[in-house]
Formats: sequence, C-alpha cells, structure tokens
Amino acid sequence: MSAAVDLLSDPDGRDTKLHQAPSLLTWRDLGIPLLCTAVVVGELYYLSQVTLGASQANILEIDNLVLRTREHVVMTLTITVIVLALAVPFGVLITRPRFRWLASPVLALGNIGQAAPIVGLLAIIGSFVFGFWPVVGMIAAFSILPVLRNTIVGIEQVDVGVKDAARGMGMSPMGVLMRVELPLAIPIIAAGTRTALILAVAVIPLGTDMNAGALGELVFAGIKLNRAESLVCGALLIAVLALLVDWASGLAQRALTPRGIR
Amino acid sequence: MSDPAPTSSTTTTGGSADNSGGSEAGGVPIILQGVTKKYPGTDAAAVDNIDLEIGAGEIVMLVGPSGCGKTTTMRMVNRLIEPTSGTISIDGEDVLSLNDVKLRRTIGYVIQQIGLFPHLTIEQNVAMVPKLLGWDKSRISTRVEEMLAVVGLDPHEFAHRFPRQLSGGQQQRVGVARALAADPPIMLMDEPFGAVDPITRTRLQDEFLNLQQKLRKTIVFVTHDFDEAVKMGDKIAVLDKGSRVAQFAAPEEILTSPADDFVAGFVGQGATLKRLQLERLDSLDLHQSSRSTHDGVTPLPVRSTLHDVLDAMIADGRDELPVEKDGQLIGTVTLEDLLDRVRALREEADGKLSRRGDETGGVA
Amino acid sequence: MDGLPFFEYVSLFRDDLIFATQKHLLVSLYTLLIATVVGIALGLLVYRRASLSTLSIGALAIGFTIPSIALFGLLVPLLGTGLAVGFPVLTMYGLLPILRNTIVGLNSVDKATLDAARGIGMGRLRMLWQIELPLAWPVILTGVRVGAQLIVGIVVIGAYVGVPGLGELLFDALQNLGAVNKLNQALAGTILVTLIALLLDAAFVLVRRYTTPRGIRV
Repeated sequence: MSAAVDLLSDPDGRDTKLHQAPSLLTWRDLGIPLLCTAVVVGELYYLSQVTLGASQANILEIDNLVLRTREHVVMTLTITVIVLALAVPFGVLITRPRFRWLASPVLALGNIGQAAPIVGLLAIIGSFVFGFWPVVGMIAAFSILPVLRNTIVGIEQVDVGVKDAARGMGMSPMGVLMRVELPLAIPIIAAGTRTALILAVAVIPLGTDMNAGALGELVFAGIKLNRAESLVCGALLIAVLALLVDWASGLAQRALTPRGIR
Repeated sequence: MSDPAPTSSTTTTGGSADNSGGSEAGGVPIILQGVTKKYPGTDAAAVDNIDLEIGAGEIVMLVGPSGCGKTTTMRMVNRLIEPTSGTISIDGEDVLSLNDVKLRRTIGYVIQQIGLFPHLTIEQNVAMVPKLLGWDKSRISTRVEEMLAVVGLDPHEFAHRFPRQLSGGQQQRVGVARALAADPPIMLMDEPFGAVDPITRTRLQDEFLNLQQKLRKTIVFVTHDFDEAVKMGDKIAVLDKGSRVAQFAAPEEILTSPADDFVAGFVGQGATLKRLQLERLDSLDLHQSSRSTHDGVTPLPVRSTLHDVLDAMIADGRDELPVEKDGQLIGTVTLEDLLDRVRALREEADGKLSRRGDETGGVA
Repeated sequence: MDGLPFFEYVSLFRDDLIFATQKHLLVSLYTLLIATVVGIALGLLVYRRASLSTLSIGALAIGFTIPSIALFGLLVPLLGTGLAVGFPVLTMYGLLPILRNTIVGLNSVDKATLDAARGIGMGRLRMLWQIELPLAWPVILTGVRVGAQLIVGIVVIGAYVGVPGLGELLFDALQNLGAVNKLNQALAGTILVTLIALLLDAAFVLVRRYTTPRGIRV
C-alpha cells in the first residue's frame, strides 16, 4: 500500500484519510518488560548480598527459582489451552440458533461459579485428589467464564447486516461462522483469554498445599517459616509474571485482530 | 458507475456461462405463485398468497408501508426466508428444489446496511462470491478490478482499503460491485440506497440506472419511498398488508390511474410532479438556441428528466436552459415548455380518472 | 477424612461459622465504604483533565494485573499481618473499579447536555451535582458493585496473611487436607462466601433501581 494514494480526495466528500496501520510494537510497549527485568535483577542482587538461613538459602537458590517459575508458566499455559479448547467451541455452540436458549442459564450459572472462592474450591477437590492435574483442572474450570462469556458476546455483537449479507451471498452456516463471525469475534475472545490468563497466574500459588503451587511454594514457605525473604521473592516473581503475561497477551491480542477492525 | 470503462457485458460473457443465465440476455424471469409465509403463533400471514411475474431484465419495485411484507417477499426469492407454501421459479426452475446455499451464490444481494465484511479489504469483499464459486485466482482478480471500475471506484486506490476507510456512498458502491461480481442474472436489493444522504442517493440511483441499461439484470428492488419506485422501476408492485398486490403496473399507469384508494393514498399528492420524473428532455421539442453562449450556465444532458430540468430552473432562477447531447449544444428548453407538458399530463390524468369513475359507478 | 455429615457439622459449628461470616462481612463493608469515598473523590479530582484520566486508567490497569496474593506478600514486611495489611490492600483493590468507573462515567456524560447546562447559566458545582453525577451514577454504582465482588473474594485470599473472615476456615481446610471435618469446613466456607457475594450483588441491583434517576433507568 502506498501512502501517497491514501491522501487522494474522496468523491463523496468524506474524510477517509487512511489510518496508518498501528505498528505492532512501539517504544511504549517496552516499559513493562524493562520494569520487570529491573525488578528481577534487583531482587536477585539483593538475595546475593544478604546472608540467608539454611532453609531460606535452599528455597531461594537460583535453580529453585527457575524451576518454580517454569512450573508456573507451564501450569498457566496448560490452563489456557484447556480453557480455550472448552470455552470457544461451547461458546460457538451456544450462539447457534438451536442452542441459543442455553446462553442465559449457562452465563447465570457461570456468574454464580465465579462468586465462589477458589481457595474453597481447591480445598474441596483437594480433599479427594492432589497434584498437578487436579489443580490445573479446578483453576481451568474457574477461569472458563471470561472466555466463554466473551466468545458468546463476541459472536453476538457481529453486525446483523454483515451476517445477513454473508448468508445472502451464499455462505453456508459453517462458512458464515469461519469467515465472518469468528474473525470478527477474535478481539473480544482474546480479551477474555487475557483475563483468564491473569486469573490463572494469580490463583496457581493456592495449589501449594496440593503439591502444585509453583511460585506459591516460595510464598507459603515464607509464611510458615515466618521469613520475609522467600515471601517477598515469591510475591515479586508472581507479580512480575502476571505483568509479563498480561503484556504478552496484549501484544498477541493486537496481532491477532484483523487489520480492518484494528 | 459514472464511467464504466470496460462494460461488464462485453468482457464477462465467457465468465458467466457457468453460472446460469448468461449476461447477454441479462436477467431471467422470476415467477411467484401463491407464495405464502406464515410464522408460527401468528394469525395473519406475513405474506399472503402473492402472485407476481417478473420479466427478464426488468426492475420491479416492491413498494408499500412498513410491515406490509415486501422484504419478506423479496427474501423468499433467495430463500433467506422459506415460504410456507406456494412456488417460486427462476428461469423456469423451481427454486425450492435447489440447494439454498448454492442458489444464493447465483443471486446478487444488496441491503440497506450494506454488510461489507469489516475485516476484509475491498478487494476481498468483492472477490467473495467468485471465491465461493471456486473461480481461479487470476480470473477473480481481473474480475474484481473490472467491477470496481464499473461502480466508479479506482481499483488502485480502493482495492486494498478496508470498509471503514470508505464513505457511506463508496461502501454501497462496493456493495453493488460485490453483488455483481459473479455476474448473477438476478439481483435482490433491499432499500440499497436508504442509508446514504439524499444527494449521494440521487447519484447512486442515476449511476445504477445507467449500469442497468447495459446489464439488463432482473432486479427485485424493495423500497418504502414511492418517488424512488417511480424513478427506478420498470414496473411497480404496490403492496398492502400481507403483501397483497394492490396494483402491479408501470409507473406511468400507477400515477395516472391508481387502482384503488390505497394506491391513490400511497401515490399521494403531486402525482403530476412525480410524472415529470418519468419524462425526459428528449421527449420535448427543443427550441433552436437564439444565443450562441449561455454565459457559464451548465447545459443539461438530453437524458435529464423534466423533474431535474424544473429543479435546475428553480435553482438557477432562469426560465430558459441550454441542452446538450454528447457535449454538443442542441437547443434550449423553457419554463413555458415544462408548464405546457404539466398541463397536458394533468388533462390526461383527469381524463383517466373520470373514466375510472364512470366504470366503477361514479365517485362523485 | 471421615467427619460428621455436612448438616450435623454445620449445626455443631454454627457459632464459628456465624462469627467468621460476620468478620468477613464487616471487613468487606468497611473497606468498600472507604474505597467508595476515596475512589469517587479521586475520580472527581482527576476526570476533568484528559491526561490525568488516561494516566490513572493506565495505572489502574496495572493494579488490576498484580495478583492480590503477591501484593499481600510484598506489603507484609512493611505493614505487618492481619488488618494492618488487610485494610490498605483491600481498599486499594476495591478502589480500582470505582475510580475507573467514576472517571469513565463522568467523561461519558453527553457534551451537548453539559453545554445546555452551561448555556442556562449553571455553575461548575451545580452542574456536577445536578447533571454530571446523576447521569454518571449508574456507571459509578457498577464500579462499586464490581469493587464489592473483588473485596469479598480478596478477603478470602488475605486470610493467608491473617485477614479475618471465612478465608481463615478455607485456608485452614486447604492446609490440613484430609483432616477430620476439613471437607465440611471447606464446603461450608465456600457456600457462605458465595452467598455473601451473591446477596451483596443482589443488594446492588436494588440500590441501583432506587437511586438511578428515572429518566435514564433501563
């Protein structure tokens, strides 16, 4: 696309100056990763300077920090994949004419589910099973609502005229869904996914007592031993991870949004 | 549309051979017989037993008050709404026996909301139906360029833009190009120019009529605006509640002899003035110009309607205007000519009305 | 993990459950009240300057992103445990949606309406009190409602650093998984938190109905 063409006058007299397609990455986008790097470097430097008791030294060893962080990332990604794999198809199904009546009861049920405390839900399921999958499963179930809701809203907000034109020109129902409804719903579905991701990062630490708490191990070790070092270090890494995940999913959201509606 | 450089009918005959009809004959006839649409849980049918024969290459206007079933009637032709009973045939083929999705690919569809796909470029929008029909890439891209040119949009400037970067008028041009892209013999148009400002609307209407002169598609055109119906239609079907055909005739006939009080009410006041829209300058005897120059007054094209002429005279405050044909001045028209014509039209109309009165036993 | 049947557990530990519920409600309502007052006040200070509004909303978005479990952890060394860290953190989270919606609500009041108000000679304060606040009220109230939901949930999380409420029961259950009656305890706590959240939400629906100016009620 040449920029010179964009400024040509418009016969219908409306300002149609081409919006310069927003570039995907600007200097402002670097603020969060820079801040996070600074915080992590600062914390590591601090830890290298203080003398820690034996128990703290073990927990705060760099290998353990990397391991716990990696666990946190893996759990977050697993949860996200499960949430997307369940919420998007189910959301699509609910917007089909035959199942549309399901939308209100499902969302109402979801809202009640969201009002429940995740600590309690984990304690309930933890009474029966332990470990990675139960924690991941429970948190996925807890984080499904924002994606499900946004899938439904995203598809329903597609302009009626656009859908009518698509049908009228001879697209099959599947064609309308894949070529029109889903692409136009992407920004909204992505926003819901972003919310679910942040939620997952935030509640994974609560899985510590079920042997799947990732960075939560540091936090709760700090509480149990009454030591600020690992409490602060765990909290800091969780906060940094949340900010980075939010940042990355924001970029992904921008990149996935079709240019015509960006 | 204003300058359809490569006309579609000459360059696309080959292309249209595979999607029924063929563009040389233009459109194909549509016949509705006893078509009824009844929604469950309602007493009155939305469309009640309508019969309508639409000739090949005609623009038939469905006009009527809101809720009369005109849009429902139109949408049954491409089966966006399934009729409860009755038959619809296109070019002799029973529409209800066809696959509805494939059927729609052979029928152009233009709606008031335009419905361009906001995430696709103008090029991708226009290419959609050819793509659905499985045309090859090079054929699609030539066709897209051609169609954009036909509707008066420079392909180089517009092909890669997105819909939101276009004005309403430009968007509807794209809407028309998209509907014409696969050269369908039939077009369904639901208030296509309803959402643009009056000046753009007039321009789009004129350009569309020019285009139609070359394409000769069969067009079902829904509007609630009687003036638009008079201007655009070869025939007008005035519809009452339940799509009852109150009158189905050429615009002149509806204006001069409305079939009943409902139609008369719909035609409304000023039928004579409306008729001026149907008369063109070339039907008058022009005066040979006494002056060689008309000091900067833009001459009127000989294809102008008398309505436009009157409008120009009032706007310019003149009672004589020059007329041109293919850029040559061919004479002048005066206000007196117009008034004579109006008087003649009125006498004609009165004659017909009183005759109708006699036939129905006198209206007194 | 065999404990009492659920209903026997509930009747036996009735007083504990009621006490925890009371603590939970009181902590939630107090912090919500402070958050509402501070949030609306900050919103009023900020909303007229576009740059400040944008900046605040950006900062608030970052605040939303920081998990409460992390913020509690970071502040415990500075503020101590229990309500000392609980009040400021809960107020902060409750504040986020209230401040955001106050800014957004006040800025979304129709410019023509404000122009008309100025045109008939209304002063700044009268305009704020009689036009802007009433019209922005439904949006602000929605912010308070979201803030309430956030606070009720975060009081639970705060229990790990000693914030009083039903979270104490839930963390105790979580940290003693398999011990006698812990499943009952988790169930009862979960149900009570959910009820508090839902009842509070229902209360807001009523408040909204009776405090929204009639002309803009939907």
